[in-house]
Amino acid sequence: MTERRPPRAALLALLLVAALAAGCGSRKPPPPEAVAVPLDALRMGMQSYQDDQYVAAAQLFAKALAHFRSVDDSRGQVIALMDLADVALVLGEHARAAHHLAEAERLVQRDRLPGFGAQLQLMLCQTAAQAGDAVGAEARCGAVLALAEVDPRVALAARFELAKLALTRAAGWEAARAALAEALDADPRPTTRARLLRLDADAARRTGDLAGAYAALTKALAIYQAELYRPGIAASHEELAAVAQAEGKLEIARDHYERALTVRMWMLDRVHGASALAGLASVEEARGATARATELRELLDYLRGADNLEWRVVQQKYERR
Amino acid sequence: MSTPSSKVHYIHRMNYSTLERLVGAFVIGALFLLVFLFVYSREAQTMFAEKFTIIAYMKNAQSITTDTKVQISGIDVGAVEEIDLGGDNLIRVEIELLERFHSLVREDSRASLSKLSMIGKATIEISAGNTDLPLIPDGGIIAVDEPVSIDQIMADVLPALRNTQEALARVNQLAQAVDPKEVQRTVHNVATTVANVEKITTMMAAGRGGLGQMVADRGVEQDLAATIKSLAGTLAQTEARMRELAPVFKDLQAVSSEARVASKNLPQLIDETHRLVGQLNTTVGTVNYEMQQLPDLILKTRQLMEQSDRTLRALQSTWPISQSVVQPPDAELVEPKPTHD
Repeated sequence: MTERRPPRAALLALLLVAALAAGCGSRKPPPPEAVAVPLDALRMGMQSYQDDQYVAAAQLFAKALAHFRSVDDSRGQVIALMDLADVALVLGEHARAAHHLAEAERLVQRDRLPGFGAQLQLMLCQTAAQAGDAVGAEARCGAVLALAEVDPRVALAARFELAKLALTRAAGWEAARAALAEALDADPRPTTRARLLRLDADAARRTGDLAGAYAALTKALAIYQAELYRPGIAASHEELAAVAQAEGKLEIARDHYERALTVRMWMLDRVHGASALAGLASVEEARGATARATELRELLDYLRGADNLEWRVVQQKYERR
Repeated sequence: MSTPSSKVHYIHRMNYSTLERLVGAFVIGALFLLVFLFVYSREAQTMFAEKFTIIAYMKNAQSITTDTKVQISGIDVGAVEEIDLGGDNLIRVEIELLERFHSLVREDSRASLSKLSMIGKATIEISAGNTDLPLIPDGGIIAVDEPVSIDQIMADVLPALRNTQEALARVNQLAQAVDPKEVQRTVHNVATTVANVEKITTMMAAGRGGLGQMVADRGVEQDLAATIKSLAGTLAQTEARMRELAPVFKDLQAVSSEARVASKNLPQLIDETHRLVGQLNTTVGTVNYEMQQLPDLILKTRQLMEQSDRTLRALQSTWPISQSVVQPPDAELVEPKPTHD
């Protein structure tokens, strides 16, 4: 426990060097405070988003939004709102996403802001799909693909949504899958390949090929793990658990659900965490562990119903096994 | 009308060596300024001064850091140099003092923590020692007066409060033993007696004959008889009350003897309580003052942090630091991607 002050001479020398370096160097003029603060908040929010810290990211995006509002910067507000909506989508909070996107759409239309149309439509499509509005989602994603010039990443994401919709209504899956695979060739991101594998697994599961579904999901999981992409890891485990449960492999299903829950709790993901918890409870019940299943259902009620959710409490209750 | 050459900026009209000289003058000027600031800065004034070290062992080094100032008679004479764990689980605090104040640090000098240490603004105060005693040598150990904690103060005050509570309970017991109705009746009888006596004295004052005549007077006789009767009744009731009160008096005796025993320690206890309350008042007063300063302090801290942030940002974009600092992503919008839910 030794604490020693750095020598003052060294500090002064460092200061001297820094002053001389500053004198020798050139720098771009710093932006005004009103611009610098929200931009910093956006940058830090983006960093948190990339680190899968979505709650922190949302807080920073909200701060940026407040600052942009304070200087009546519509473009900044739209960016912050779309970022907030993206975080809400990742956390499965489609109602919140819809609220942010409606505000963003209003601003874009009011001030005729260029450059947001395609991505905004895509996010509205994704929000509608998450909310179960297949018609709305199809219309929005169709509108994205109908645009003359569209970012290929936006187009690819729209094709994913259309393929998911085709799979759900069991019509046009093959065509949607082919279009998706073609668009995917130009995309270098491994996580999009993993997403396609998960869609393939879903298609296999719907045809009763549980082993094929499990194999595809295992590959997808490996990609997500290599990319350290938490939402993908958690979603893959949940889908693996569902397949294992359908196969009657309850121990394996339980393991996948538990691993998914650990990731969801780290992400502070309430919606997906609750669905994983419900899955785990059903597996425990099927295993005959009714007491544990009851405990998990109580925790599920808390997770879904608590106004001021304490993640610490969720963690403690979950780990009490 | 100006010639073409006069439209050129003056700096382009200077030859190269003049320009170099100008830059050189600026650089040298800046260096001179730095040296000047260095020489006259407060830190630099004591940087090369001769110093000596003393050691203090404390049970609780709360709020002491390596920047904690050390004062003698209100003058800054040094700072804490090092904090370490000593023997017997005591905290070893190494204090570096300016040599020119060494003559004040004698064997009877004591180090104590300022009262503000409780709220995190610690200063070590060293009492100036007796000049007849030898100096504490370099590396020597100084005795420490540890400040009284709030818990200790409360622990000292609590027994006194408990005694007071017990005494009040006894008094309450006494008050409950007396029946208010009986007291009311007795008071009423006494009032009647007093009224009768007043009547007699009024008649005497009216000059109606002598005392024998007054006694012979039938009215007076009746009044007197009634008075005596009432007095007798009052006395009888008083006797009965006294008999009832006998056990209470016995209790009272016991209480007073206990109180006598307890009161032996009372002056000392009161004295101690006085001292503690005084200390508490001083501490609370200081804390109050500090609390009032707190919002201002927070505001200033925030301003300072914002300024530091701006300075750091400027530093980050300055060569050569800008080369090694990884800039955060400039992307404002999250990358479009399929949902992975």
